[in-house]
Amino acid sequence: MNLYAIILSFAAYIAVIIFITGFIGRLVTYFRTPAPLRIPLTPAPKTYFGALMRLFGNAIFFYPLLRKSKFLWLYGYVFHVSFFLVIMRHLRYFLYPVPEWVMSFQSLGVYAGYSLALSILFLFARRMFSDRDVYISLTEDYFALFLLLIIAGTGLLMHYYYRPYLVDIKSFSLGLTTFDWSAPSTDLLFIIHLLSVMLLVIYFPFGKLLHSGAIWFSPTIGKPDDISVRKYKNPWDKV
Amino acid sequence: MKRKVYNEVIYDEQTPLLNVPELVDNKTSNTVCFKSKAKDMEPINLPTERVPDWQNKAVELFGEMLDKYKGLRLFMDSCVRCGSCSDKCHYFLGTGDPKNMPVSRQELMRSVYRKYFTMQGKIFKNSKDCVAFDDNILKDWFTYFYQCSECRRCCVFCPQGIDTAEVTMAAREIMARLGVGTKYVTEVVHKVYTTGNNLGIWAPAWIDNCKFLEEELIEETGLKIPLPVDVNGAEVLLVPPSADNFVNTNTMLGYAKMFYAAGVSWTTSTFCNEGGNFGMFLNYHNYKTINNRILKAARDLNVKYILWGECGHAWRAGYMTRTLSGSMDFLTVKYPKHVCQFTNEMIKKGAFKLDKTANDHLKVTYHDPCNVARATTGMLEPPRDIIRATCNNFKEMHPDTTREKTFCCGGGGGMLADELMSMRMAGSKPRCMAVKATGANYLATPCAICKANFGESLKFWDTGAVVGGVHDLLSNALILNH
Ligand code: SF4
Ligand code: SF4
Ligand code: SF4
Repeated sequence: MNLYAIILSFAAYIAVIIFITGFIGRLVTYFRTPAPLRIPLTPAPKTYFGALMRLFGNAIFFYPLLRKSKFLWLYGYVFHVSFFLVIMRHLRYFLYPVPEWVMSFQSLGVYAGYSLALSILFLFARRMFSDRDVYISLTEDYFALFLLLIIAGTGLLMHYYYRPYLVDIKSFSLGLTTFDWSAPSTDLLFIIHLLSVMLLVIYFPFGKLLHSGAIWFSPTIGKPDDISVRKYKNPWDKV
Repeated sequence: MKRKVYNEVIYDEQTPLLNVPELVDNKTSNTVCFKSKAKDMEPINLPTERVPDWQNKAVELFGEMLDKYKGLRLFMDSCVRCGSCSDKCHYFLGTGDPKNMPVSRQELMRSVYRKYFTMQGKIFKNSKDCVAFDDNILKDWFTYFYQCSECRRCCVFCPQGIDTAEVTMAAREIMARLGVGTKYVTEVVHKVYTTGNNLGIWAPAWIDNCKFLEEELIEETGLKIPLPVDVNGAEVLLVPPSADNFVNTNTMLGYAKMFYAAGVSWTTSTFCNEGGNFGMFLNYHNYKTINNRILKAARDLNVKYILWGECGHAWRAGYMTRTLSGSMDFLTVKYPKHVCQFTNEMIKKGAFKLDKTANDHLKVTYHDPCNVARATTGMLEPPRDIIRATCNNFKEMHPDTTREKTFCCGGGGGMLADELMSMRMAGSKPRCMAVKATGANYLATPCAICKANFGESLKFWDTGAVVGGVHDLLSNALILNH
């Protein structure tokens, strides 16, 4: 164990702690903020079950985006699915022995790496094409995409060209879970990859990426319209 | 290409339906409402002038709103700038001003949110995405949050379900409590407290006008069809928009004939002869206080139940009655009910004899008022059913512009002020183009503000149609027994 191992391990812990406390804190705030007047989106389902189905449909298939452009929907969708697959693939670095189901994600995960990088490029490009998209894009939007692009790019490069010594990396990542810290590879690509991931994880609960959590509380998509059946009270203005 | 000029704002006359305009920065930044007057602000419980230390006060109020409204709290965080909403607002489609894109409208508020309520604002103090609450941004708020009719169309297309109307309402509440309001909205709210309605009609004039309409009905039908006022113990309290009694009188006659034919006793109240709730465009306190008047009128007159008339903003507010104003359990219909729902039920029961050919001179199309169709549920079909039962020629507009995707008339949300005329015409354009495409000569709609704005805009855009109510059609088709 050396200083390098300790510094990186601690940085990883801090990133994860910020992520977890920040994100959960945010979700708790969302949950606890009252929704005084009902604003379900028309045509609203009549029951909570129906509303839940709509919420899932929205969060998992993004179907309102289909109404804007099939193209944007496609690469937006490809982006999210690839991201998920790539994360699944990385589980093998944190589990020992690697379970069967994680192994089954391995080759899919590599393809997902490509589609991830490609979809990020598309998402970048589309912000530059139409006047309107240029106008509404903020520094934050480019920052998030840029960060993701670095992560995906270095990941792919490591897979194909400059393979770092994987045994070291695995003992580093496993060490994080067992508190038995060891130094990972000092390969530059790997360090960039790791640090950008940490940055992304830290940034996650403070910016637009919160949309992943916020949508589950949506008072428009996720609520039924049963106002004629159920009486709703306004918690800060009881009548 | 022929062009139209209105208050020096130029719009292309003939653009195809739903064409997206070029961006023109600050195109409508000078189309601003007149400021509220102290004489209107004081009686409606708002500061008569800008409160001292207003910048800090604004941030404090912002924090309060974030803690009170889940919607606002979520919407401030969850926009991903996907741009799905960017071409959905009729004010943007009509003007091309980028700040009228729903996402940029929210951004006016979100940039202030970032500054004071997020880590980003604390770290990047000079970022242009984090804006301090000062005179400039207040000016933008006052301009662009009063260029939003709170119609919720953008919300339908947002993958995150972000409702810009909620953002607009929050911004207006903050402004109102800082002492910044518009003359039009505050004047109307003030009138409701003094006269009971938005037009400022005093009780004797209301009674007079009902008598006058009764005489008109005698002339037309030879029957004594009552328009009762303040009748204790009537079955129904009708809360119409006051404009129906003075401007859209055919709709009022339609209600009267309908109740007469259905054999249901009804009344209006001079204490509360208005459903249209302008408090909604200002702040929660007035929203609620105005809505409370409806239940009070129902109690005072001992009616069995309440029906809301053909008014979009009345229905949206009324729909919340049980949350805003308390239980409706003292009535036989214990939840808000719209007169179109009632009439439709009666038609289905076979209570009326109808002669559809009486409307054969009309080519009818139907405009879903946003606050009827989108802000509440269950009001997409009843008005259509009434039209189908009373007309032979009914044609829907383009499906991208009806039902939950309906376009606003351009004058809702407290924007019916004269000084906003160019905005109203521009915002009405998508709707008017859709009307024109159907070739209809009668645009039926159950909303008084829609009627008022279409009265001007249908002419402005040369659609060849006139606007009218849904009950007007029933009134034509109804065969009354002698
Ligand atoms: S559609 Fe929703 S998420 Fe997309 S830019 Fe508009 S408000 Fe933001
Ligand atoms: S609520 Fe209506 S007027 Fe306001 S931004 Fe959305 S579409 Fe435009
Ligand atoms: S006036 Fe009619 S169309 Fe316009 S916002 Fe109100 S309900 Fe909607």
